[in-house]
Parts: sequence; C-alpha cells; structure tokens
Amino acid sequence: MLRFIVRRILQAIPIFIGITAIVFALANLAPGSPADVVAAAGNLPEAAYEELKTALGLDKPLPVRYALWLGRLLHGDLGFSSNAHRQVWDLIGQRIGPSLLLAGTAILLALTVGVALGVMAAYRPYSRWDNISSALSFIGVSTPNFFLSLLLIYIFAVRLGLLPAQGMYYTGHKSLSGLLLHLLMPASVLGLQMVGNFVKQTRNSMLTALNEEYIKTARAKGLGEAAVVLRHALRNAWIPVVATLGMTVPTLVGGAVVTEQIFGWPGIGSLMVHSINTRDYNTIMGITVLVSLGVLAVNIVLDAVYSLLDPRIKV
Amino acid sequence: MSDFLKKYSRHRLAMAGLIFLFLEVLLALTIPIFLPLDPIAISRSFNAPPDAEHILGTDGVGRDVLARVIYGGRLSLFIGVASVAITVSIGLPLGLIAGYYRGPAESVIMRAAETFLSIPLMVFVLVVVAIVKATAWNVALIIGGLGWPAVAKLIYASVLAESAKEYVEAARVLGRPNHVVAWLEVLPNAISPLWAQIAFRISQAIMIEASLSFLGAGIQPPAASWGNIMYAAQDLAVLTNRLWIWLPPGICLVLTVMSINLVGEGIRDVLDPKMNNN
Repeated sequence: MLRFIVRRILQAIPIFIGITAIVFALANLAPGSPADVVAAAGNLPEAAYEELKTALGLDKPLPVRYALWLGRLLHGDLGFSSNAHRQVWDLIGQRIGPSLLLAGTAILLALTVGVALGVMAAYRPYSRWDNISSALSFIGVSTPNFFLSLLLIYIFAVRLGLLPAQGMYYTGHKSLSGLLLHLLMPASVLGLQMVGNFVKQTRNSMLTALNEEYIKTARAKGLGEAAVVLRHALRNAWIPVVATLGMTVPTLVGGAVVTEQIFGWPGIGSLMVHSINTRDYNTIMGITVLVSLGVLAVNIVLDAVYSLLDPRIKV
Repeated sequence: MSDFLKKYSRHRLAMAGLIFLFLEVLLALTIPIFLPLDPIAISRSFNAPPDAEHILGTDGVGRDVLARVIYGGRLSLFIGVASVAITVSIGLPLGLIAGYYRGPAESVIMRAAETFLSIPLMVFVLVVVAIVKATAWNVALIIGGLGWPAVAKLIYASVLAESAKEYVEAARVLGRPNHVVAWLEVLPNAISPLWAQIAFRISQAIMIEASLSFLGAGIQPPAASWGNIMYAAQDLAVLTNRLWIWLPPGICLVLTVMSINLVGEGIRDVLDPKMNNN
C-alpha cells in the first residue's frame, strides 16, 4: 500500500518537471518577459546592456534559470501581477475558495445524478431510464457550456426571473440561501458535461456486478431488490467510478474557465480570462502551473484512494 | 467497406448526423455563390431585427448575421478538420513508436503524453493564444498540436495489444524490417479505434475554438466565427433583446457538434460492437 503510493509519487516526478518546464518555456516566450526587455534595450551602451542582463538573471544558462524559477515557484513566489499590482499568489489565494466550491458542487451534482441514472439504466437495460440517461449524457458532451449558460440565463434569469445571473451573493447581504441560488446554474452547467462519464461507468460496472454469483445468493436468501441492488451490487460497482473522476478533472477545469466568466463567479477561471484579456502574463502562468499541478495531485490522490478501496489494483 | 456502409446505415441517428453534416458542408460552400453575402460589410442599420433584406437581422455594428453565421460555419469546419489532421499526424506515429518499439521511446512518449494531459486543454490553448496571434491557422495549429496525447494513447494501447499477436512475431522472424512490420502489418490492424476518435476530436476542436472566440481570446472580428458572434451576448441587453444575434450561431454550433458526435458513435458501434453500451 505505502509502497504503491511512494512509487506513484516517484512516477509523477518527471511529469512535474515536464509541466513546470512547459510553463517556464511559455513564460519566456510571452511578450514582456525578461528576454523581451533585453531585446528592447538592444541599443543601450554595451556595459549597461550586460548589467541589465545580469540583473534579470539572463546571463545564466537556461537550465540554471529554470532551476531558479522552480525554486521561487516552490516558495510560492509566482511573481507580480502587472494588472492588479499585487503578488499573483495573493490574487489566486483569494479566488481559490469560490472555484473549489463551484467545482465541488458540480462534481457532487454530476455524481449523484450520474450514479442514480447509471444504476437504473443497468437494472433495466434498454428501458426508458436507460434511454433518458443516454440522451442526457449525449446532450452533456455535445452542448458547449457557454451556449448552455446563455440559454439558462436567458430562460431562468431574464424571462422567468427565478435565479440570479451574476456573481456569488446578492449585493448587500451574504446569505447561504443566496449562495445556493447563485450556485445552481453554473454548477448544473459544469455538472452536465461530466454526467455522461459517470452514467456510463456506473452502468458498465453495475451490469458486471449484477451478474455476479453473490447477487444470486443474496436474491436466493430472499433479500429485497432495493437491498440487493444498493447494498450488494452498488457497494462494489461504485469503486471504478471513483477512478474515472481523475479523467474528468481537466475537462472540469476547462469548463470552469468559461462558466465562471459568464456567471461572473469570482474564481480562478474568471481571473484567468481577465488576465488573458489584459495580457497579465505572470498571473496567466501562475494559474496554469498551479492548475496543472493540481490535476496531477488529484490523480495521485485518487489512485491512492482507489488502491485502498480495491486491494487487487496494482497500477 | 460496403459491409461497413450497410451496418452504418442501419443506425438511424448516425445517418441523420451524416446527412446533416453533408448538407451543412454543401451550404457553407455554396450559399455565398448564390447569395451576395458579405460577413464584414457594414450596412446602414445596426441591431436591426430580421427583415427581408437581412434574414437574420444585423449585429451591433451593422453586419449581416446570416452572412456571419455562414462564414463562421466555414471557419468551424476548417478548424475542426485542420486541427484533427495535425493531431493525428503527431499522435499516430508517436503512439505507434511507443507501442511497437517499447523501451526508452515508450517511457519518454508516454510521460510526455501524461504531462500534456495534466495541463487542461482549454487552459493550455488559452495560454498559447495569448502569446501568438489568433488567426484561423494558428488556432487550428494550437488545438491540433496540443491534442496529440489522446490519439497517441489510443493508438499505443491498440498497437500494444496487436503486437503481442503471433503474426507479428512471424513477420519479424521472416526478416521483414521493423518499420515495415510496424507500419504495414501492425498499424492497419490496430487503427480501427481511431476513426471514431477522429470524429470526437473534430467536435471537440470546434467547441474549443467557439469557446475561445466567445471569451474574446480567439478569432478576432471582423473575421466571423460562431464564438465571436456570440461574444455580443455577454452584454445583457443583447442576451435579452437581440436573440437573432446569438441564438442562430449557437443552434448551428450545437447541431454541428451533435451530428459529428452521432457520426462518431455510429462508426464506433459498427467497428467495435463490444463498446456499444449506450
């Protein structure tokens, strides 16, 4: 168990280096990078030019500069936001809570609906519930979430006036009910794109589980159908569903960028769009590296959880 | 081939998707020949609702929405096809090399794939687009170039399974060079999962371009893209009162993506009946 986790972390080291190297390269290509500053200062006197290069650390070879940048990154120094005139780390720290709340709610919604539909679809294959769940999955993967968001805002906020279209709280007072109302649309949009994956996975593993011998035994003992399906079959079938959670995280992050922007949700995604539109490269790179390392970390944790739940697994 | 078509044509939804796409391509290519549509010309009326002159009305600067939707469609189809061509031409050889030759190439390629997959594609594309100019070709290159790991992993898994079969060993024993065995013996037998994947990659590329342009980071006006037409709907006044601007490109986008996905599912059902679980 412990050996497995240690090995999984060791495997992640080259990927960690890969991610940081890519972002470092992008940061160097971005306009306004130290390299650009030096290029623009090309007509300075020789001595001043060399001094500037030294001051920016550009006299050192590329691997050394990467190592220095990585060292700062590991100390939480992501540089200074040209836009907000603050440390990028502070900006992100302020926004991470709302993003996690939105993403967590979306996952919870998608898991609940997806697992429920998947169980019903597997219990009665090709029934109406099976058809409904495949239709919902199909709509989920085929509707760009910005268009779905526009439609929902138009219907529920503009026409019906039922839900707020923007932000996280009603202006003036912070209340839980206000928060939940603001969460409903963006979390549903984000959840819908993941539902299909959970339905498919639950359906497949439930179909396998329902054909196992121990299910026949449970039925022969005279257990009620609900107990057979939920307590015996689902208990084993939900484990592979956890494993697919990791695959959906990058999609979730990508979707959150667009969805947060449309709903004015004060999270990392809308900060990303704002930073891109104002060409605030330090913030762009900071978000990119943190989000990618986050995806990597989530996958390691999920693999560990998976191996805990199912001791047969050796990844 | 005829067997494939026969089986495919039995899938009603997949056929409907194919017919829709065929008509769409036809219309996107031919309408501008018959109708004098100009996606960047500015007329006297702006924000005008649909009338006889402008069937879908005009946008905020007075451009004809129908013309922009049609040219936006051309752009979407171009981005989808061009980017998937790039994705496959990078991902296919890498997957084949990793799966057939194994060894150090395998670990380097698969680690690189995992690295790229850790950076969410939408975020990755946004960052690169912020550095280079977002022309149609650049957007296709970026989406295509960054999408290779999914294809590489698919081909890798398939080649790995195929390479274990006896005929591959037999071909090697007969002294056929390795690259000949890989490309001419293994690949043709391992490639079938790719066809459905191509459809899904096309629809994903189209969605990414549209999202990018919707956010204002993709194709820049006056060039038309479904995404940048809908950019206007971020303004509540447009969203509320000028449906003719944002609804048509949105509906076209959804129908296109759905059709391509239906075609992809149809192909997958025919080529790999075991995968048929929906």
